[in-house]
Amino acid sequence: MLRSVRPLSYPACVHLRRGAVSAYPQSFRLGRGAMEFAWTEEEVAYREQVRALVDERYPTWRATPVHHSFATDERDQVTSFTHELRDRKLLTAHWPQEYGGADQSAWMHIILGEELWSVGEPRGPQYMSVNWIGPAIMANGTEEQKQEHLGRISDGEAFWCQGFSEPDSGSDLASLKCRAVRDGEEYVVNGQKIWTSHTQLAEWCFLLVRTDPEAEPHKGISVLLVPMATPGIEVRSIANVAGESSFAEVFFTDVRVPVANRLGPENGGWDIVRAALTYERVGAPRWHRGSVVLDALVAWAKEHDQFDDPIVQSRLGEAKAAIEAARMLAYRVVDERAHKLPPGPNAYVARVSMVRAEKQVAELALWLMGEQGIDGESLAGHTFYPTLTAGVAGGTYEVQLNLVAGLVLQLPRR
Amino acid sequence: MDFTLDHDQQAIVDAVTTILAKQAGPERARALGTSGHDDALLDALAQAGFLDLANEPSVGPLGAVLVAELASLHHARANIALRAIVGPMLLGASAPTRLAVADAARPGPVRFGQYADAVLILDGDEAHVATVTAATPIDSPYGYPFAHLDTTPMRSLGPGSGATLTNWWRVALAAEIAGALDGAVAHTVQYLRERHQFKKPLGSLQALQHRLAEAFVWAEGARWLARRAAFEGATAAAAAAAAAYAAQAAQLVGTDMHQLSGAIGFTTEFDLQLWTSRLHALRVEFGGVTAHQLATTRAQWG
Repeated sequence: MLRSVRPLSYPACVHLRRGAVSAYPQSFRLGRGAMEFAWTEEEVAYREQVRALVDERYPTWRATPVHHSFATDERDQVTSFTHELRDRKLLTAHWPQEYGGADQSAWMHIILGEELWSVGEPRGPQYMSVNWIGPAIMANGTEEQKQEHLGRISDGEAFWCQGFSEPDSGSDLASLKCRAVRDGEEYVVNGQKIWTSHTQLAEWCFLLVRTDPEAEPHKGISVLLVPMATPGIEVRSIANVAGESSFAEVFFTDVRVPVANRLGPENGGWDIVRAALTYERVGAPRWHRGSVVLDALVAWAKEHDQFDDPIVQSRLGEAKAAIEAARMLAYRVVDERAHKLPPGPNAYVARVSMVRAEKQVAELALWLMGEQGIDGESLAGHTFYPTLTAGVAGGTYEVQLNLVAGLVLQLPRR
Repeated sequence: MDFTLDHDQQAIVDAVTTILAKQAGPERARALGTSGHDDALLDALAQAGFLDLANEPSVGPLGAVLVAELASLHHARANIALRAIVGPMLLGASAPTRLAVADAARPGPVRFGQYADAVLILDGDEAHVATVTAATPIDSPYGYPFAHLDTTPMRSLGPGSGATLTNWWRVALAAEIAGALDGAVAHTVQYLRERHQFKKPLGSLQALQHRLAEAFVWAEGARWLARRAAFEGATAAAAAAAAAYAAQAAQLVGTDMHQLSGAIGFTTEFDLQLWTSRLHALRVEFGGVTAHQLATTRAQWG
């Protein structure tokens, strides 16, 4: 009946839920239960366990949420935390038992992310392994690859970096040039990656390479799982203003990688990485970190007699509403995952909302704290610059808008 | 947590949509005019029980929000959102079909005031029910009938009822805005797909695509915040955040969709104005965005 009101032809994936009371045509699917937004007892208990561990190990982190970047010699600090998560069966609770999980719902994954990312991510780069590298290997890996990598991830032992961007391939990732040429049972890799995070701890690289330079850009890409200790890999760190001390360039010179280390089919890497990135759009729960930062800002405002100012209260309320909207849109994506639906474009909608909200919080932090926020060790200092990366990392804000326009709104191609 | 409607919830959506498709819509809205009132539609929804879902244990206020979203999307010329959400939560089964809501602290005109059999009035900590003794309609370009009212109090709903009314009023506003946002954005998307300039669809221009995408994200956020606030029983924080976000979205979408639609967007024959005129009324109701933002902060952090 809605079609008779607005004869639009949006794709069914716009609203995967029967709950989409909307001008947009829908693909109906029966849910298991009624629409509801409550946590189950198990989910509440799980969150409390994760929070308790954070407060036990890092009692001061919640009050001053700082995104931590761990140096090479801090590996043991990270693993002592991830081992504790593993021992309490919290690290990969949402994974299947056969890969070290407990077969719990996708909601456990996002609760874990909310509680850890929001206070500074004590898992270091391991959050990435759990978020998308593990799932990508689970979905596309050989039995040997699954055996080798999934156990290490669920043991809290795996440190990965992501070899995606190149100097001439940023937003246009599919134009990447890092070349892998087959030589018997090996690939020989030559090229350069840039803006690579977590190289200081990474033992493996999830590397995108071009294996067919003649094919269309996105049809000639493969994924290689490359040990960072392989001869021919050189890492150079990049100084930056965002407080991200782990940014680096990675050079590959005649790096030999066994064909057995290729994930998925040759030239089939684009689909793998696209699915992985769709997961990753909501992988870092930026909305929850924004929420924790707002709590800390309110504490600061009260302490400095600024909380009663109605302009301050108005801006706090605006930011809180934006954060909660982003939370709901992200939860909708998690709900799709919990229902075992394939990654869909609602993730891009969530990401837009999330970036907008996080930046609003960061701007509020600097505005509210004023000159005191200039101190790099202040709450604003730890929030403003790192948040500038929110609209760039993992695909720019504008790319997300392109995807919403094309895939969700079905606007004509440019 | 589950973002999917179950069978019963879907049946409600389908049935309400059927009624609205037959008895509401842009032509009906134009025929009644801005100051008109759709008694037939209101009675049809009331008789089918769709205005009292909020107190049905198996449906609850979330079901009422779905009805409110749909009514707004379909340009219903009756006070459905406030009646379906605020009415049952404050007055239970005794809620009159023709209900308006007003704030004693605000002297402005009351939406649907001239058509109300009773008015729920917020008076500080208490809400009370009043009858209308005199109604003075005003001319307004903002999509609803408005009137200044003289009222006679009938009964108080007791201490604390003021907060209950405040919170459900905000949920109703958020739901009504969400429905109109949905319609305004979808209409503009469709128009820009079809409208050709420079030998190409306007909707193929990236500058316009980005604005539509951002508007869509605002509309989606407003929808889910309203639903969550209803599900959570209109806690002060959830209700205020939903209203604050929706009111801000209404301002942005209510102006930007006109900018994107060009000159035809200002014509009465173009459906866009049926949603946007109402968005601007809704975004200033009950103190508007700043009042909702302040309420969000006070509810969240004291």
